[in-house]
Amino acid sequence: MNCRKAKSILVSDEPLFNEHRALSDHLAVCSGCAMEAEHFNAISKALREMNSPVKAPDGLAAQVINRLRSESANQGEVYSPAFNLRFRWSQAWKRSLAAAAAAVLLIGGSMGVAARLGVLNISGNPAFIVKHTPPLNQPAVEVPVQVPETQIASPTGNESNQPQQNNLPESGQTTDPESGQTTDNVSAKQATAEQKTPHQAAVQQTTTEPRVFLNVPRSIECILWKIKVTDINSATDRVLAWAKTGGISYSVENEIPLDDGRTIDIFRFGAPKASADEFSDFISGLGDTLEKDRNIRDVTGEFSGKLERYHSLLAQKDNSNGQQTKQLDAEIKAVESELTLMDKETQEQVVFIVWLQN
Amino acid sequence: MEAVKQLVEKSLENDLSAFEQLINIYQGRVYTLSYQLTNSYADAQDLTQEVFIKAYYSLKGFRNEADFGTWLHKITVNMWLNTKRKRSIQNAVSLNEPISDGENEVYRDLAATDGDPEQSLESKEFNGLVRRALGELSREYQAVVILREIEGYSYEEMSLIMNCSLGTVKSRLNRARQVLKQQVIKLAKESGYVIPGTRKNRVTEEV
Repeated sequence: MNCRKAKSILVSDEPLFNEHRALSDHLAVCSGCAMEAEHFNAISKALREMNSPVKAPDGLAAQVINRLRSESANQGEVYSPAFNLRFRWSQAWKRSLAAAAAAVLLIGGSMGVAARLGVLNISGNPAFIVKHTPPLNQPAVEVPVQVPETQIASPTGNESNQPQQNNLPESGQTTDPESGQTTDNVSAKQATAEQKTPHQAAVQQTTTEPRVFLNVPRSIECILWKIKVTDINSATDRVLAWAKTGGISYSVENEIPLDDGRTIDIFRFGAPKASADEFSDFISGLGDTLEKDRNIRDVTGEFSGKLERYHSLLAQKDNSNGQQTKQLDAEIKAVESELTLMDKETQEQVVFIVWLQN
Repeated sequence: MEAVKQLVEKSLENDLSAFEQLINIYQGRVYTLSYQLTNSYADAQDLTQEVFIKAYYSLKGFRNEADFGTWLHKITVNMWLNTKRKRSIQNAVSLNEPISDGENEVYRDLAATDGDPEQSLESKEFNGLVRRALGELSREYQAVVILREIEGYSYEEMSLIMNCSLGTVKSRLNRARQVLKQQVIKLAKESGYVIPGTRKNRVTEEV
């Protein structure tokens, strides 16, 4: 055995059975390798001696459980493993909700995103319809939301089965904001919803190379705005048209039909910071502000967790083949899209959750 | 083991008291690994909390193909690899560094060595040196060394924990060992230590 072979065995801790004798013979005559063997042995021994259990601090379990309990008790906070965003809604907003059911409606905005990504089981809660959810490059996952037939029978529900319209209206050709005609409004809404904003286009780009995301402190500025409008369809059209021309991305719309015939529409917009004030002015002109709340949410941990998942999937892909690689690719793209969205929202945008009701 | 499985199933149904029992069973293992990785009690406590929070929300991903403790260790390692180092290394408390009480320095009684007290002290000093050297490796290298040498995981288990192939685990571990040895020798030279077992061979070679 030569020194090179001996050193390669020493550095690995698994010498083959038939290598023991040859190695011993070599170490007996080679002082350099013998010293190297002693170094490795001494280091291994030192490391093994570090294997003493360290007692966890008292109360650790209680702390974890308290955190989990407070998160689940706080109806206004959603932990969404898919989107990894937790929005804490102010007491003022919660107070404005007459019943617990309404609280579920309130969180529909972010739940809709999670639902579309197939992770939140809200099938037992037919309280809201995920009406328009522009695709986030997630072909493999269908919206798992189960909507009762009575609600699917709404015009919007029916339209979801119609062929997509490719000739999107130009900004100057949008439906008359004041017309209030349902069919026009719906078609304009659908067209706008299907249009890819620059932001979504960026999200949808399929990258062949892994993207680099910075694991830096991150927070999302979120403005929650509840507005009473006279004509909800008209207001919806106006806000979507404004978003389209103003370069504001649009990620989810939930339509919530109420028992008394009224409707609530919730939107989630990502406005570039430079346009946020202008967008605020526009929204305030839509109707009477019932509630408004600004919230800055630290999502460093959530982003970090998502990034961890991303790297883990990339590592798995390196060691996969065939069908498994395809599945991993789809998952990687989905996680990458979410990271891209979070990256954008934390660095360049203000998120507006706009609640319109008539 | 069956009890653990039942507790996991109950936790999946949002039974927090079942999850609390799981925490009580596994917190020692998670905290110990967290401490080995972070080399700081405060960071270990933070990491352990985050691991259990994440585990709770990821329980659906646990399919009983691995031991629950190993699954928690997988979360621990991956979380640590992706978390920014919060505290500087100077603030970290080393497992084997002496603790000063103002006048004297005492050591944590970790190495259960017996026999020659001088040799025991030398061994503890050397362990502290190895700990320092380990802390200077990249996180990936630290993780493989800790999982293998301290936690005693098999290559297969490490492959599961680190989401990489057996070959990658082995080659990464070999490189980590090589770098660790060089770092130990470098630190030993700087502080005039003689690596135990090599008393007759002053550390004048290598690096």
